[in-house]
Amino acid sequence: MVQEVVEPTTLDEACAALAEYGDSAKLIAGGTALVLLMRQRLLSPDRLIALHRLPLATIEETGPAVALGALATHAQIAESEVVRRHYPALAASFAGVGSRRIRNLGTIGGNLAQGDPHLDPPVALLALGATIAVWDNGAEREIAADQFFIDYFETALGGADVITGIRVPARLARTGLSFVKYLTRSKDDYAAVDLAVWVRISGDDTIDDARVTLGSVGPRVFRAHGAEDVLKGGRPTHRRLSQAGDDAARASTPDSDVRGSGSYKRDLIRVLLPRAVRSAVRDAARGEPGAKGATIK
Amino acid sequence: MRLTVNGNEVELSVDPAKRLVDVLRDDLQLTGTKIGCEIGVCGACTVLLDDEPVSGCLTLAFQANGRRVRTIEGLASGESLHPVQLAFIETGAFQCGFCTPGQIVAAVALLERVANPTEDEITEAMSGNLCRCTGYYPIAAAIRAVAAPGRHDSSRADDRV
Repeated sequence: MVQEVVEPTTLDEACAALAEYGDSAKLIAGGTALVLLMRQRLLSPDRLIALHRLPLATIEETGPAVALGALATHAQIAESEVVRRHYPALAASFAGVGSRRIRNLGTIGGNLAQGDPHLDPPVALLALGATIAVWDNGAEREIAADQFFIDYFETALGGADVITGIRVPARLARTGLSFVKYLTRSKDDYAAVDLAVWVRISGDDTIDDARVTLGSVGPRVFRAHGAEDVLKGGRPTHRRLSQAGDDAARASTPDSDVRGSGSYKRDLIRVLLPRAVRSAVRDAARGEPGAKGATIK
Repeated sequence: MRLTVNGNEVELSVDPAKRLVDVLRDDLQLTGTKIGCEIGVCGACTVLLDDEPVSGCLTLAFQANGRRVRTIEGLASGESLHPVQLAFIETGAFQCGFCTPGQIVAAVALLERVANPTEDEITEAMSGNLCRCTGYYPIAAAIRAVAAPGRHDSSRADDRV
């Protein structure tokens, strides 16, 4: 039974409350995931520390980065002109989470803190090399996305940490991002496979650098380094894409569940990766930052 | 806490962790909003929080403090039903009626945001509201009818719910 809801107005107040109440308190942002966990009796906090009064909901360009405040909602990020201009695929990764009702309340900070490997935005953020800003008793530090996702519902966050924001590099010329959410059931479901590809190209389509990330096919979102190595340094030929797809499928450990068998999901990865690479290359070729990009469907 | 419900300022003393849907139904006797799945999936508890649809079963009372809530009861103007309510009657968009308040509230939110939504936009916006009775078609037809009277022709080849 929740005895009290604390509503701090500053980060220091929030951290003080966390320190005072320890394990018996839980941070709550949008609350959609937390209330669900409480409903399922997986969590029974005595106190809720509500973050909604903290000024952490802005989305802005800061020169070298696009900064997403931890309390920005999925709906706000999906519809943000700034995010769409830099990375339409990143906006798309927020636009499919749950339903509109969930997206209106759920925040990016809450999404990341959950560490659920089925969630879409972490897959795109990992491909972009995002950094997560964390406040711990007056000290702010940054955690690279590569180090953030550790295991099933386990992240690099400590018990006294509050996520304040997420930064992705501002879009540079000749770089592109694609994101694929492959659904085998209803629209509000988790994906059978989540896949994102980021590339930096030279010439028409020579891939100089690549990041391949996967979600819903293992205990955490992760990078398929083998597939990345296959792609780097060459053109996206059929042979190279096929090999990269095989590598990514082999690196995945998908569960067999209602969304498909493990082997089916691996087959999906083999098919989807080449498409995602080609899509990322097209995004990279579309022009200078700020050029009109693909419309979000 | 203090909030605005269907245009009226309301002051309440409630457990801040109480579900918004329970505050509306039990403390304010606004039982139009229904409780279905209780996990945010079915949409029967859809209400508008500052004009945006949210799940009343996943929203806690304190989150509505100082904000505007609109429910199914707040859509009609006196004796005049809201255009979406009238359209639902016209197209037969409800049978048992249980999902209907949530459907209408979600539809109102869509049409306030996009006056003449495309088929994709209708599907996208309404896909979180489940119905076991109607098969969804008349619900989409009701939305089309409000968006553009005369648009209800269901014989178009690209007309998909």
